[in-house]
Amino acid sequence: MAIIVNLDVMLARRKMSLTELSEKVGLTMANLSVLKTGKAKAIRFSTLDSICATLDCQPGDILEYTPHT
Amino acid sequence: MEKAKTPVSIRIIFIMNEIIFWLFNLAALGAVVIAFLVFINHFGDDLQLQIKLPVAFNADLDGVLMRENSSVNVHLVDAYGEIQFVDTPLRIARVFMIPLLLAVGAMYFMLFIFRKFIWSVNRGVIFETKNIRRLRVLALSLLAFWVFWVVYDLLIMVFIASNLHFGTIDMINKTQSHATLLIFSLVLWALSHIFLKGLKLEEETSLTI
Repeated sequence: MAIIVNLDVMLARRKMSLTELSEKVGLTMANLSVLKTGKAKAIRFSTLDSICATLDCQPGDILEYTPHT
Repeated sequence: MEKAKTPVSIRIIFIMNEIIFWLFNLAALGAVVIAFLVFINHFGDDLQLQIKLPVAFNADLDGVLMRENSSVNVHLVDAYGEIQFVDTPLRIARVFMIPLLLAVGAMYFMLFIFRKFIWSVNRGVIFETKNIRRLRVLALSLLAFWVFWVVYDLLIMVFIASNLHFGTIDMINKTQSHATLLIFSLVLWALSHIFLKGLKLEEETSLTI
């Protein structure tokens, strides 16, 4: 996929663990792991909104587009 | 999380299928035993083999349809029936055991596959790769069974029905196509494609965060 999820980078910047984010956002650890590992097929605006609000960042800080080589 | 309740229709099909499957097992066992006894000539000349005729016959009979205050004259135009061999020759009996065993085997296989499918659906596992494969196998088996049945009927018509001679009835070239079976197999085939679409949608939903 050409979309890369930089959730782990943002978590490191904010010095926050995945468990903490999971509690604050209200998503299960399993779902957050799917998102973090790039296995997710889609992300809801409401989920993105919650993550951005919790991590105090923009969607572009979490999602990155890289063209196919 | 609360487990989704299985719909009543699925439970009814599940129970009916269990009853039919085990009854069929008994019947299949009986068929295999009879076929074996025929092959070893256990019955000798006493075997009265019955076979279903695939062609209609005109019995040329007049009858009356009785109603409350009136009666209507009717004429028997065509009917389907069976013939019984009197003291069936061993050669004929053995020949008929082959399609019998083939049909029993095919029906057992199809019931077995359907049983696995309905077990899975009853457990709530519906959109699964295995189920799609089962539906496809079932559809193709039914299609093959339909071809087998049509060929069997054709052979009976050519070699037996066309050579039968009775005093009062005439054979009519009106055969049964067993189209219901063909349509059912095509419906199952289409259903397997719908299940494939369902599986893809389910995968997509589960991977939407």
